[in-house]
Amino acid sequence: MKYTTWIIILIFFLITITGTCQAFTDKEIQSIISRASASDALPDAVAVILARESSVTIGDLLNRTTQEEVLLKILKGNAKNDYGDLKVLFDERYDTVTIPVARTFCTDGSVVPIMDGADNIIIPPSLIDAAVYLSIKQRVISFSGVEPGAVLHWKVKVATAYPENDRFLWGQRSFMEDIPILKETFMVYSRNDVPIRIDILNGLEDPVPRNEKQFKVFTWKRENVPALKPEWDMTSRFNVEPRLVYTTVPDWESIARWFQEKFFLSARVSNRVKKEVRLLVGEHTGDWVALDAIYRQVAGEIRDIDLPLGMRGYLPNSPDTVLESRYGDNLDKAALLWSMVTAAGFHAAPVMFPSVSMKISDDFPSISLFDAIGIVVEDPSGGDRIWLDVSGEDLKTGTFIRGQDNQAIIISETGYTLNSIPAMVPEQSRTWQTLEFDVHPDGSAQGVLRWEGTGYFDTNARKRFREKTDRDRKLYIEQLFGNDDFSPVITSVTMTDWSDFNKTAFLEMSFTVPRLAVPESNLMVLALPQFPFGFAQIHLPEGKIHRQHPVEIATRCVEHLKITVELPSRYSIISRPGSGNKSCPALDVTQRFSEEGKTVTLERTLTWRDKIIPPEMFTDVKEITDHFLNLEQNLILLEKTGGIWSRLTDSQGP
Amino acid sequence: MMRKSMLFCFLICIGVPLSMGASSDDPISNWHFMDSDPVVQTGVVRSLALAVPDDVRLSATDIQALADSESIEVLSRNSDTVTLLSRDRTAFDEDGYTHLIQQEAVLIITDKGVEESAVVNLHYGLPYERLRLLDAGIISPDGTKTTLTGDQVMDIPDSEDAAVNIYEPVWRLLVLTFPRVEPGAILYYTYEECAVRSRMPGALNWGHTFRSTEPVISASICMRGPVTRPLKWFVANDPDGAVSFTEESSGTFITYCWNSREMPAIDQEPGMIPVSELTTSLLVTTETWEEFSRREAAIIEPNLEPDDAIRKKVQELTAGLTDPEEKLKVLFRYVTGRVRYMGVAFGDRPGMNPDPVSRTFANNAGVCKDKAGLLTAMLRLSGIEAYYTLNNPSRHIHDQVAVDQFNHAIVAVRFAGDTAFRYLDVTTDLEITMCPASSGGTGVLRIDANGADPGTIPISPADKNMGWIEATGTLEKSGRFSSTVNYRGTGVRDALIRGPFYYIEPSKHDEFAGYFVQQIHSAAQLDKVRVLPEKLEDLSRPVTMLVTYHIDQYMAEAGNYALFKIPGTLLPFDWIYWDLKDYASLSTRQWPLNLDSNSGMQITETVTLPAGYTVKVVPDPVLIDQGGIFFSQNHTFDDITVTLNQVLKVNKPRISPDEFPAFKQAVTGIKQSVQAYVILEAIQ
Repeated sequence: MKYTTWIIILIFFLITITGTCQAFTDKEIQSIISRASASDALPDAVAVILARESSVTIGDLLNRTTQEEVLLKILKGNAKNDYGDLKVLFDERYDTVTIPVARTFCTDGSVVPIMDGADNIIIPPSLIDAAVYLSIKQRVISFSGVEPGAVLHWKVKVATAYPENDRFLWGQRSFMEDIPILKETFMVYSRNDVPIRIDILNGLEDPVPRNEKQFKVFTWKRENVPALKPEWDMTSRFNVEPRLVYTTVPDWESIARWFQEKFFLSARVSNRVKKEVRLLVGEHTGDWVALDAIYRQVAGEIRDIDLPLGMRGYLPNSPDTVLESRYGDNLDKAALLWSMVTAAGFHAAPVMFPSVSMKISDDFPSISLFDAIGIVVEDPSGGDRIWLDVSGEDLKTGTFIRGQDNQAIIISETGYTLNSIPAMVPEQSRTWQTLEFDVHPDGSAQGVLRWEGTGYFDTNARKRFREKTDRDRKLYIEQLFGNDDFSPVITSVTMTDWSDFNKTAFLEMSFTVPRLAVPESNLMVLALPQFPFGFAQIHLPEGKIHRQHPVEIATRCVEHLKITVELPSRYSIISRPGSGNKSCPALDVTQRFSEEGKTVTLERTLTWRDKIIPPEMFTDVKEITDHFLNLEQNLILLEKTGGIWSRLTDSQGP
Repeated sequence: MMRKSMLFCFLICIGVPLSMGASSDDPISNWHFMDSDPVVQTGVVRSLALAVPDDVRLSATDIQALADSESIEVLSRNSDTVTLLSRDRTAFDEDGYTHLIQQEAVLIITDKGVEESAVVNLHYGLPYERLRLLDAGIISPDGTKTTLTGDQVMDIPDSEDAAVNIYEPVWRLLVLTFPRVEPGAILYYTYEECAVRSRMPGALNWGHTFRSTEPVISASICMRGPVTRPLKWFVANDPDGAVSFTEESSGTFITYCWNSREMPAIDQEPGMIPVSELTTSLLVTTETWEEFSRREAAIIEPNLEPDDAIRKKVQELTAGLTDPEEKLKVLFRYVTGRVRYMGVAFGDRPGMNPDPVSRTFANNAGVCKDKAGLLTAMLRLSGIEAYYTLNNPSRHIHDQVAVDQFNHAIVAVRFAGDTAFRYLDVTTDLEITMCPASSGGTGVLRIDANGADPGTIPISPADKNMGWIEATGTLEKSGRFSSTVNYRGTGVRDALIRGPFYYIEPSKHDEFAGYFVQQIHSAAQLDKVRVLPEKLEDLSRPVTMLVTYHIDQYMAEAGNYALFKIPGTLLPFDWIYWDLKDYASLSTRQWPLNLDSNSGMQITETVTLPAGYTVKVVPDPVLIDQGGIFFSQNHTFDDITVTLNQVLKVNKPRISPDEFPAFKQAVTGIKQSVQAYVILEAIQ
């Protein structure tokens, strides 16, 4: 969640600073407004962009001007809170923001400017805890007269000037918003001597190119662009929105050289670093014990300042500084980790990557969408490289969950390689949930619930439990378990030491239930309970079966469920779940039901083979999971046998 | 230390220029945002001239000694931090100007304590205060002391309210980022604050918390003020007398001191009433509630003066209306629906005064205080007695002394001939009752030129917050179930449907309704959802939600039998029941449970059975009436149908710890009723 938030900010940042260069005339504006759709024409939209003209002008390798002029119509009352303010994120070190026009065309025909005090510069709220690193600001223009029918009109210009060698000019732009766009023109102007390269993604049309004086000009004109209509748990917007990315870097080699100069300038193996490493690893060098100790120190003991890579630049603070302050952002922690593992005798290199799922061509030289940095370490014994995520205080050493399958660049002191981040295979993240209980003739039960997990599930559980006090853990478990319809009463709980990453994550509790099975007439209904621990399961989004966008689950994984029930005496089984298998390319489920005397066992294994599930496959996946959640697959219907009841019912007849 | 402080005041008072400002490289002892504005200069000089009492600060060594307290081990069990020291020294004058020195020290116990305490935000408001840091550092477990430097002290705009469209950079944060924070470390800081102008001219109005969600080893407060402004004070939630008090008079001044013993943490529980109602708190003032109300009225009333545009609009809106209730509804809906919730700082008293109503009206924008001001003015123009009124919708207040515990503005109205007031919350755009049920029991203070005492908003009964579901479904032999659900509600039950469907984009309505349908069964598929009225901001009509859905494999065949639950038994559209389940999950409670409001749901659902089956058994009837919960459920059947009749009511918005076992038992009873099935038997 933490990283998703950041990406949204980044998107906004990059979208917002693109802008128009061609002003609408008053006559055009009046014409656009008078022809504007009423809300009836767009019943699903709360607001609509009537017209947007925007451009990016790249004057040279250090200077860029982005301009935007927009006419946005408020269609429904609920849009007034979300669309009544213009927010421009900028870096006060490099960006100059001017907003020459911000006014409202009201429904009564009047035109009102913004009121006194409605032009403010604030810190984006999500950045307050990163104040120690802050140069990012947000200019907020609050429009007056915002109500259905009003049209907001603004022009924004952002002039960006980077110092020599600070960073490259690169960026991206989406052509889809959460509201429809009726008409849009977007232009990229690039001086002929700037080696600009533009890639288009997700179905964006090719631009119309032309030359104008000393500039290459690329133009996109689009009309009647529908709203994105995001869905719960959909894959990253980067994978679905028509989008362009641009870069002025000729090749990856240039990026590598530029980054090497910054990263390795700071990330020195100083005496302080050597001393710290000696204290941590003792006699161990170049082995797992040493790597584990160093990783735990950096990931767990250096407080994380939540800033995406690049937001404050690419020059890390020195490892000595970070060791002294014991806090750092992603980049600082990567530099510290690199210097410490290097001091411990490992060959390592920083790796930059996008933390959310994103398909980018590996021949497009840009790291503008790479918002995270980690370290890869060569395994001295010749095994696979070990990938380390510096922000993962709840990750076991070598577990790397973010950005799986994404493109990454590994930059060593002497070169670089482009790699895909290795995808975790399902077997690397397993969750075992076992439930054993005895059902008594009155429907009450007692039993034991046990959970154990690896990989993603290990991390997920540690996130929930590690930093909690004993009391808070108890409350959390009571809430999770007690919320169940069966109202279990927990009689004992044992769990792993969540701070010891060498121990398997597990949780075990004993419980009693006043009524797990329901005697009804001469029958007893036993619906097998669902497992209560959300952190130990993969959840599919609810609400929609036929989806527009792909669903993205946390990781490929395997879920094992096993329920063993000791049935009450004097009851026989009338109906029970079956055994079987169902599968599609994304998911495989097997179920086995067995009986041995009064003991019955249901075992189910779900193997999630794909992280991204396309809409057409989602219906198959849902069908499979729903099949196994159906009552029939979880129901044991018992009938009383023998004794007085049997004689009574027999004598009464059907 | 005291002498140094007094010397500093003396130098200022005799006219030595204020050598302060944000330009200095040293973040400590640096006044933030000092400027040459004469009001600021005059205010600061005046405040700093007030000598704070007992200005002897604890050294780092003294603070370390506090951490050696024998009781730390016991107190810190299950805590992430321990407040070792909270020391507040304040001087005030007759006009409400203050000079304060605050010293704090916190011992870090856990990793979570590191995360939560490593960054400290000191809040202040440019129109009212200036702040400077006198000392800030950290003592590592090995005794090493590190002082904050450079960017570790940052003065930034406080934009925490930007999420609700409030953009007021006059509110500032002095952000202290502590280095080397780890369990066992002690953070400490001392800051000085002086008033630029009084937030409440002519009065002192102030509060301080002794006990909080973390244990406190030592807390003390001393205040020094003129004998002509004696303090009225009250210590809330101190049944054992843990807070001691002394008073000392010296000529024209009185010094008041409160000291607390060690205090354990308030252990938080999910769903508990606000912690702020439970904290041991000192409330201090120089005035009565009536004086408070009159003083505020003198400041605020001029801003409620309407202009011609507002007069014209009121005439237009109320033309032909004679019933005051109709006028009230029309004006309430106009202000709530038209004025966008958005705040920017304006005037001399931002955050406190409503904007002039002409400004709010002309710009269609304002926060609670501005919208309440405008509605007050419009109601008065229509001939209705109306008052700008302070409220805190999220907690009950301590009304023993006149201390401002409000964070919200609403409107109080009274029709001719009535004695009681009604309250209107203009920020609840979609509240058909004009005041949310969750505000019941919260404190209010009318701002009245004649003065007023605090009151409370009446608690709304469950019958005023009912939802009604009528559903009809058909079960087929194949196991497929299809159903039509008609939901209508009033009060909170109206708002629970109206709000989400209003704020969620229309394209997501299916997904939203589908979520609730899938609480019946994961394979449930929404066929259609329709919410009326089409314009949900139309508060003249109660909301209705029509849902049709189907589930392909709902009925389970089991030998000669078939089983299913009438979906209504699962309470899939009852958000409030989900909360009840959650809150009842704990085994015991130490603190009262807050259910927000009374409410209820009545369900009638009829299911037509598949041919070839007869009913073997239906779930037993259930009747529960205890712990603030009423629940009845009854299944009836004939050859063709089974019908569910169910009523659930929450009759107490707050459940005390003593009442909790009965409440839990009631909710457990409801949950158990959910487990039973309708069992059909195949006709041979």
